[in-house]
Amino acid sequence: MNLLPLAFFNKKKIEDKLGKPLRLLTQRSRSRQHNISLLSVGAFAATALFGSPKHLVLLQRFLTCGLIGLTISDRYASIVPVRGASMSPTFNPQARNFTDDYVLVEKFCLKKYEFSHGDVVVFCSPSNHKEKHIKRIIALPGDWIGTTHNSHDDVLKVPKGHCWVEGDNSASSMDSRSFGPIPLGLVKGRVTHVVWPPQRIGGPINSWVGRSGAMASNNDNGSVNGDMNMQLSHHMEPRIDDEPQILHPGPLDESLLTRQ
Amino acid sequence: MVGLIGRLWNLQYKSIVKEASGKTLAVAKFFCVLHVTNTYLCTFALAYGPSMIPTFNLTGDMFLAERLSIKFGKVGPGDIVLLRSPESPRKVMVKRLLGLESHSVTYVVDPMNSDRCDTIVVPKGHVWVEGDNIYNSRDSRQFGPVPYSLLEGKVFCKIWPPKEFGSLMKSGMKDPDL
Repeated sequence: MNLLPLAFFNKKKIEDKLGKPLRLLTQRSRSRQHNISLLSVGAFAATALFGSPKHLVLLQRFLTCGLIGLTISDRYASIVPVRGASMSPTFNPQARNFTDDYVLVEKFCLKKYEFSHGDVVVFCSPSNHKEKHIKRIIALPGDWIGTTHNSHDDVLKVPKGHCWVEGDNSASSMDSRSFGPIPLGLVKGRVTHVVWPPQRIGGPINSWVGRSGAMASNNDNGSVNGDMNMQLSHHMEPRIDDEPQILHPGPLDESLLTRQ
Repeated sequence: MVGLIGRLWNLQYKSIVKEASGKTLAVAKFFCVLHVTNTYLCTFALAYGPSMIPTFNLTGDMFLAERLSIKFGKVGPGDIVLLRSPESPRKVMVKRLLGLESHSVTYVVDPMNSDRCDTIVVPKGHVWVEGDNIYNSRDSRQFGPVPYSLLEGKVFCKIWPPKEFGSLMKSGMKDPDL
């Protein structure tokens, strides 16, 4: 629309002709000016706080990376340090006291909550909701577990929806032998690889150390087949120590054989 | 001539790639914001079943639950909470919190058949939950106190059906004479 001819009219005449729409237009542009002024004030304050627009962009990038990192570590995988020696020799073997092992924890298992015997998992402690522990799943719902309680042997069935977890280093490990079976809902991830220190960067950690604890290091070149053979032989050997035994024969052996 | 066309094609290709990656990043950012809000701030849920009658209907009510109270430990007896079921980890259920750790909880063991009451002290790190409809509810009376980490959210507002919209009362529905 060509506004030039309108300029020759009086303002009053223009207002009479166009009436309300023109008034609305001028009002809207006034509020847009308010918005723009507010934005500029905000930008000025932000730059005053953070020093320069460059810093603002940096902060924005930092926030974006933080959000994306948080989402990935919640839904897909994260890297956590292992503290303590309750999972020796799988993690933190005694020789290294200065640096912790860092492991990769995957969260895809939380979609279906399907775990197998021998999985190393991260779970929230049942006695303190702020702590997380890393232990190995020994028994799944419906399995029978043999344990020593108050110096007498006991057999109990893992209830529905729960699992029995134990540390590989039975001598110094607070696990299900003290607090009983834990609900599977407490599990927050499954450990798959060791990522630090570099000389222990290892393949999948799902081979089972075995209760006697005399397993060779299960990282890098030990093939899965080789590990399983070792485990089976450990399982069949006559036990000479007084570590408690697991009393479920059939299902456990089959799961070791078929898991590849 | 061929070199010129090649250079023009590269230029166009680069701008397409740049635009595509920019859009992908925007979508990823939106998804991340959604996830963070859902996991750390507030979520909504639909619950059905008879265990929380009359607070919630049998056919299904939608409500909002916030996550911050659980993270900071600001829940107390009388709150309606979302928790992961200790019997099947893929299910999330809605119950009323009746006791925190070291509280002494008295409950009716089997209200359909008898009036026998039992008292239990909730162990450390656990909570006691019960449904409002104790005649038809599977809760701590059957599976015992649940670890605090299984709690997922605190319900604060019902949003469907619309005529029952509003914040939920904190008080428990138990008969004080019991």
